[in-house]
Amino acid sequence: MRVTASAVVDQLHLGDHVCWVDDDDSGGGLHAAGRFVAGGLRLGHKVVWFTDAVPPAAVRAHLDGSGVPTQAAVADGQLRIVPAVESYAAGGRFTPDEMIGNLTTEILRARREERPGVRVVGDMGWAVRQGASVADLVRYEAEVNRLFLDGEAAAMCLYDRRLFPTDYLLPATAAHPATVGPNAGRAWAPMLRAYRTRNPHGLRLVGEVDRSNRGAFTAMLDHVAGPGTNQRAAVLDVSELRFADAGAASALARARRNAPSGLRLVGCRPALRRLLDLVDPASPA
Amino acid sequence: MTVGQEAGPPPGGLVHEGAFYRDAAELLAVTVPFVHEGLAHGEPVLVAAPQDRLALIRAAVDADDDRVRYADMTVQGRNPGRIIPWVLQAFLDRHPDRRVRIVGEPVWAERTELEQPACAQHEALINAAFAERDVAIFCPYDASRLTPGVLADARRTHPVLVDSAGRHPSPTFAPEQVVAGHNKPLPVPADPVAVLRYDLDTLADVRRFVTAHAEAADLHPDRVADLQIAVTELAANSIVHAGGDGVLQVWRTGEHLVCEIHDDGWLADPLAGRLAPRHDGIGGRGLVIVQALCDLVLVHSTSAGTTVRLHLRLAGA
Repeated sequence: MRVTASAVVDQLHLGDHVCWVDDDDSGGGLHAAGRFVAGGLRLGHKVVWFTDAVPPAAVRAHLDGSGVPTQAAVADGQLRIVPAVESYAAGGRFTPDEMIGNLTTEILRARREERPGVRVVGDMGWAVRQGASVADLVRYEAEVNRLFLDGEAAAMCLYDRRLFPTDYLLPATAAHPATVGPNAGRAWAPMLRAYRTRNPHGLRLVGEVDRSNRGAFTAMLDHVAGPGTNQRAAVLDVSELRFADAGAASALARARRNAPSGLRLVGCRPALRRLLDLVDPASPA
Repeated sequence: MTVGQEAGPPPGGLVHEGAFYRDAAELLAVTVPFVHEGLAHGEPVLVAAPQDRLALIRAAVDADDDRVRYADMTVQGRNPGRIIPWVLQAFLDRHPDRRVRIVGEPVWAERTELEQPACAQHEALINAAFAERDVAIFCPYDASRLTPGVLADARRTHPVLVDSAGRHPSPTFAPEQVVAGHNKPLPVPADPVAVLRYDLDTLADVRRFVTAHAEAADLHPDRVADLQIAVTELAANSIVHAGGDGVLQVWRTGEHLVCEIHDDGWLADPLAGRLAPRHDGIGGRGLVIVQALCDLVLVHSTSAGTTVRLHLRLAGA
């Protein structure tokens, strides 16, 4: 069971931002994150592991014990294992923009060091202890999605279901394009992937959107077509969007209506077109 | 907004009349003047009726300008729960600043017994849904072919009745009781049932599950897509508003593929899922989308839990 559970992380690649939700003491999250990190180290990725439930030394011992030698990687800066609270809540307070800025710097540095990518693990239990607000946490998880659109970085956020109240966990997980846990089957793959396109400016969306990843979807729409887009018309390639629920269609309709320089959908499947007509009867169709 | 205002509709507000006819001549005698009167007042008119009656009315109205729209109720209103948001309100919202008139014949003899509770609830809820709107809705009933039970429900859901003797208030008008009276445990399925429990982590599995059953039942790919959307909306409601989980059951009858969602929620507002986003708005709760996509939706909801049963017609049924 353990092997299968953590094996799902082998499906992750650069560009993914995945929420791992766990609710037992068996260390499933540690195993899954360890496997995610080991895969990254093998590929030459830069790896940053923000620990919480398990101290940095124990995380390193876990990696070494699973046949992942850490000494050289730590020595040359490829691998950093640091307490999450000191990064997310540096100065005693969680400031989403600051953390997103730090991760951006991390990605730029890895690019300069000619690393093929960055992998981040964030054990998020600190958020409850530090009293981070749901609004701040959800805003952080939603806005950080933009860092993964270029396929240079991947992240795995660990949420222990026992620590987070449901009204906290639901919006926090939904701010990730995909959520997975120890019960995922072998066929699991991230529910949604988004790739930035340059010419035309926009996104290519692959997968499915429903209530479980709506926050991530709307944040990505806002990123490419919202007010801060430098007045560039955006194109969304939805030809590989296999499923969109009414909330996703509403978000698309709203983005299309409010985009300062226009938002065009290409490759709309019949079901999505019907749904857009239903949620936005005044739509241009 | 309450059902059945005792003081009657506000001046120029909602008028909701039921009329009983025995043959084509009587149908035309009550509907055609209603349409002509609307045209004389410059009011947009919608006639939504089964195809054969639509043709009769259309020929008799004899005014083929675009102020009268005709809709086949057996298509647009096959699902009774679809009529208020997606037929009546859609027409009202196209003319937000005018009084409009609608002939709506939601019940016909070929309607099944399974559909009748949804038809009666639909008629009852018109009174609450459009209490604040400026509209006259005229509902003809074929008294020669519909059952006494259907006609009794029509008397209880229309504040005003029209017959050969003229217009008079309905002595049995009681729409809330009609809505409540049909909110009953749904019939136990006679066919083998497949069961899936779901929560937030398995929302996508709900789609795979119904897709497998719908494809095995040979539903058209467009209908499979409709069902995926409908079931996802209901399951997401369970997760967000009804305790975080629920149970999906799927089975096949001679006529339908049936998907039932049960959870601990309570749809306390009978108008839940009956009103679409306004013309200038975007969105709409999941349930109103579900009503748009399915052929029949039956609901039983109490403080102890809610069951929503979706029916999609099988090909050839």
